[in-house]
Amino acid sequence: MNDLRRTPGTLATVLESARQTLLLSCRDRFWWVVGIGLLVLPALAYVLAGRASERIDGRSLYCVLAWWLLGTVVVPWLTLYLGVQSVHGRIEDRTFQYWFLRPVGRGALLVGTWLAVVAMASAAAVLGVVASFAAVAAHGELWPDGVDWRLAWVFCSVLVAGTVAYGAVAALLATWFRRPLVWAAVFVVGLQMLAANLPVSAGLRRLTITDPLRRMMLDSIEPDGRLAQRLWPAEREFRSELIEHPLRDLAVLVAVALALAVWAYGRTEYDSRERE
Amino acid sequence: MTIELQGVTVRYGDHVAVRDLTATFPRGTVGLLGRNGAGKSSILKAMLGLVRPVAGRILVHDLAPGGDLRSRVGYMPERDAHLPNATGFEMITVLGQLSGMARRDAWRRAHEVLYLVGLEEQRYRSVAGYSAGMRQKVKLAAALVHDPVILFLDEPTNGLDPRARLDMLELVRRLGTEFGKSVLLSTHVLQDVEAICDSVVVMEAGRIVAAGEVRALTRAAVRELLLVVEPATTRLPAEPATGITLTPLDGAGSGRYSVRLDPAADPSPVFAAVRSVGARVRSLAAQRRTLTEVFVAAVGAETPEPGR
Repeated sequence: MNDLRRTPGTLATVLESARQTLLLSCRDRFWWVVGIGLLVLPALAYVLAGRASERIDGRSLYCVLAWWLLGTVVVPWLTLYLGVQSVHGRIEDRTFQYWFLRPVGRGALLVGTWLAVVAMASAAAVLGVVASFAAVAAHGELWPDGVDWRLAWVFCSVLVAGTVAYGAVAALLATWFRRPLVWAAVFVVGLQMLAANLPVSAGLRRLTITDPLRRMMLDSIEPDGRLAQRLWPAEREFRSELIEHPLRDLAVLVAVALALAVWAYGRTEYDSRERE
Repeated sequence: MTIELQGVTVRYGDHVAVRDLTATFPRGTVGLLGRNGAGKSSILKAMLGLVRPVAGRILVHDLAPGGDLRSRVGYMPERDAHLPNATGFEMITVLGQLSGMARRDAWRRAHEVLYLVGLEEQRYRSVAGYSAGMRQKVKLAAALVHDPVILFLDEPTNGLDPRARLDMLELVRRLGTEFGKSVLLSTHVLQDVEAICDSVVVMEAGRIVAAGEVRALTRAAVRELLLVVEPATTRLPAEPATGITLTPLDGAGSGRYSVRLDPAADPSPVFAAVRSVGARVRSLAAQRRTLTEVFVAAVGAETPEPGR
């Protein structure tokens, strides 16, 4: 039997952890909620597009819908929930004892879990983007210059980048706090909604995910003044210089959040005793 | 197994769970006995590297907790812990793969250990739907999947009915005798230790209050003898000689006496005392203490857990 057992390398552990997290999460009943959401979303988009006034075209309608609904509500909450469940769930159900006693690094286990969360949330986000785009695109009258399919690609990329970042923040919150979902709410509602709408000069905005995501999106869709105003109400006069380096900002945030999460996961003595 | 602890102290905030503990655990099946809150689980977790002692040194098989030791130890936690949405087979396979086994090897090994613990019929059922006994068994299978040389079992008979408890104890005994595993069994159930352990370490309030081979500890009272005389109505003197005391058992007239001998005392005056009143000795045998008595003597006057 001993010949069967060999210490897996870091990369193998990351991939195995990701694979196992995906397999174990796939049967979560939560996916029924996601499935229903994926049916409701295009239906909602279709109805809204049908009732859109003549002043708004399909492009603007879709951008507003995709950004404000998917970009600021669905994707953050979905990813944070999945991330917290996957990481903190192991602490809550005490299965971390099994994982931590395998001859592999805790950091690799966490990174694998994060990758799985990103994969799951990205899949849901991409399906949401495509479904809602198809629903708006079905109203051909809203697209006088033809349907701009590039928008679906833009939002897919932006929201996948969002899942990467929200997944890292979820890992950070889940490894540092006893009630990570509460802190996730503080992050999304308290910090993001306030800080992301501060003027561009406010440094606090760099601690958010919404802000770089929005700049990424605006950079890609090159909006007119009116659409820019709808997507970034805090900036009265949108200028391309405001875009700066959103991908870099996001990468720094992800790197810092993941590094802190891995550090905490490797050092913290999680408590398997009964909760009071 | 040989586990060496030197001055180990484990704290949870202000609460000291284990206090300056120094001990050596021998090979074989060792019972770690103590009441709830005595510090058993904490010292177990410290040995596994799940908690870091604030002071002291731990060596298990000459290895420090964590690191390479993890591939040599199997841990069965006290409280229920099962992977969500997984069947017994999937849970064990996952843990096998995370221990470095290829998928097919992990499958094969999962079948083997689930068969060993008696879950072959239920292996494809969700662990969430398992009974208490089955959940204990799947935790044991999780501890065994990577073929560890040492098993740390934390309260393996918790919540089991009498039949399931006996099955579990038999399984643990077999792991030691047939499969050559060293087992450290943490429990507050005295009979479990008495039934299967070679040695025992008794903990109380984070300290070791008694330790040694189970036979040696229960033999410590070999100087307590049970005397049966005929006729039963015989009345014997309370102290027939220096260092010897006789105490009637079951009330006067039963013919049964407890004989306490000082370590250096010779028991022959007992025979003389019986002869002097015209009676005869029917039997005089060493009276073994139960582990319960050893435990009570070690931790104080309080009785062990009710019903145990």
